[in-house]
Amino acid sequence: MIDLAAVGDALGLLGSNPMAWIVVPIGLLIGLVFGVLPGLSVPIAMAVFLPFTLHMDFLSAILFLTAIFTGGGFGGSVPAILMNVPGTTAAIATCFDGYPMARQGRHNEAIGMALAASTVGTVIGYTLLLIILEPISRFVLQLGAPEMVLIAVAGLFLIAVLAGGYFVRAIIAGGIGLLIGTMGMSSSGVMRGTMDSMYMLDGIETTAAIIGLFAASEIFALTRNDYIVSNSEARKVRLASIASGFAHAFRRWGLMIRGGLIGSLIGTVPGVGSTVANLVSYASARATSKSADTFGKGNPDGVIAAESANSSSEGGSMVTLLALGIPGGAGTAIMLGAFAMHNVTGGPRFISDNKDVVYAIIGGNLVQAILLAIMGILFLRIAVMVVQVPLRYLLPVILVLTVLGSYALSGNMVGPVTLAGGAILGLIMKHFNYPIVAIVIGLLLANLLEGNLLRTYQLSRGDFTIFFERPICIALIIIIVLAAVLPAVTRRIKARRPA
Amino acid sequence: MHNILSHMGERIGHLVLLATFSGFVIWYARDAWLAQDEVENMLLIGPISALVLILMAGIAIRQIRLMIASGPRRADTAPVADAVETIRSRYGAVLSATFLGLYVASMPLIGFDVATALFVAAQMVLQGARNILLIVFFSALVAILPVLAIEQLLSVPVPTTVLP
Repeated sequence: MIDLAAVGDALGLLGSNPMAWIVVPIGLLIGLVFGVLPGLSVPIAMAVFLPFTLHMDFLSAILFLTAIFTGGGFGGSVPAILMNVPGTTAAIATCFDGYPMARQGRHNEAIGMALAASTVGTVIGYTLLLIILEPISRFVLQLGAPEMVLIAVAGLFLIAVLAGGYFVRAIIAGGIGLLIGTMGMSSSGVMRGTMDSMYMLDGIETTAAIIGLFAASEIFALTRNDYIVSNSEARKVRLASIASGFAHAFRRWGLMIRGGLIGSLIGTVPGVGSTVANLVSYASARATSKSADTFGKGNPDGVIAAESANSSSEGGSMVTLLALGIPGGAGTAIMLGAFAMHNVTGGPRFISDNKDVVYAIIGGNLVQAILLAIMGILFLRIAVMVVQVPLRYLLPVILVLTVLGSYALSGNMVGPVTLAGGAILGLIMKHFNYPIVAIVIGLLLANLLEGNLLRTYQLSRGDFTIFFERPICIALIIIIVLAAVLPAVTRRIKARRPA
Repeated sequence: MHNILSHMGERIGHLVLLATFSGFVIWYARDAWLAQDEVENMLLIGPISALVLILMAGIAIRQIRLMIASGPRRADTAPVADAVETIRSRYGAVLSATFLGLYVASMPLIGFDVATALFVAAQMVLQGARNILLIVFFSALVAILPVLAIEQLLSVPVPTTVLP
């Protein structure tokens, strides 16, 4: 599967290209800064710095952009842990246990764990890319609309796992999320819920809505506190604690590898990517943990599972980009822009004709993961100081940054209005125990589910037995049924067992 | 008495939320149906709307039953706190959300710079800041730097009143 001669050429390419090694640390730093600032997403960073890649050779340009991707992927975990605001949508699940850890004064450890899991996740993602690039790209090509519907349905099962004791309310929230997510122009060109406003043609700004929904759940509640961490002793930034968290993550190898594999595989599916990967990995860690009750209350495993998956999904998304020329998300779409700027076309021909370049990209990213660990630790010393800032200064700044960031993202008032609407809705929903994560999952999966459901309907002329005629569909149905039935069966068996 | 009212208020609030959600679902399903009354258009919206409405009706019925069933309870003695602390701890979250709503609504009207400075100052006062000089300086700083960063670094034009 691995062409050793091409690997040798790739090493030569990397060794003889000093530019690549100059731009990688810069890219990582840019990604870290943009990831840390809520509202400023990684795709924004990549878009802002895309024109700079014109002055670079192709390999350096791609490594620079992937460095922003990698740095931003981890950077998003910092506000998720310290403020419960996911810096990127890929850090949603990191909030669940990272923020409770921060409130307990274990922010140093949590961030150290996130860094280790991100580093290992990136390594797993790109190592898998190296090994299974060609077979997985053939597999991805076989995923049609019916398969994508079932993948989205599997994603909706997360609502049940993350319901937190309010199952019916979670389904209602998920349903409302699905409906809001379908607002705007449908894939068949019909305008729904637009209120005749051209701003609503593209529907709801998902990123702004998600940041609003999550920010509301904690930022507003923090108004009554003076600091994020109440205990002044626990507020200190301790490199030793960050290092201890970093080391602790390596004691949970199995969890990191599982998260890495989940992230890589989900990352290969276009349109799903890191946002869903971190939720699936978190749900899987929680479902199989002996201490499932402590999830959501500051269980380190939650942080490790989420971060290893969102970082490894980057490698997965590169599969579809390199092998098929299909961008799996906004980040890879911008990378495709860099391809075009250098007159390179992604796809099967690109891999067969430029194996050395592909392996050089993979190798460069593996080195990037190591650099992320080193730069991350240095960067975190400054980032973690945020817990020492009194909330009377910190909260207004965070809110302003999220509002202005959402404005920069949308380029008009739709972003801030969506964010404020999401924040107020989140505050009310949280008050009445409607799980916010459920509405977020609905929002994220709405377009994927509706678009593919429509294509399946058209493909099968309304005959939904098509789901039972395709081998991958049947496999997916079996997995979904098992995922739904197994936890209940396991609980029954455990309950019957004598203590 | 205070507790009975807050208990009832809580359930009424929940019913209002359910009514709002139902209103949204019915309006959206109707709007989608009017836009195109074909299966293709309602493939997801139809079943999801029906499911959500049925579940919400179930919860609403349960809430009403609980409201009828729950008799008056003896009120506990509420802890006495000073006025400022009570406002911040009891209504801080709601006031913050209101400030955010007002901030976003005023941005296009009075400019991002002025709206941001006013929002930051109000939020700081809500959270206990009392040093006027510090509030003015900090809110001005937070209003200027991010707006300039968005305009200069990201090249996104921002409507302003004081800043160029």
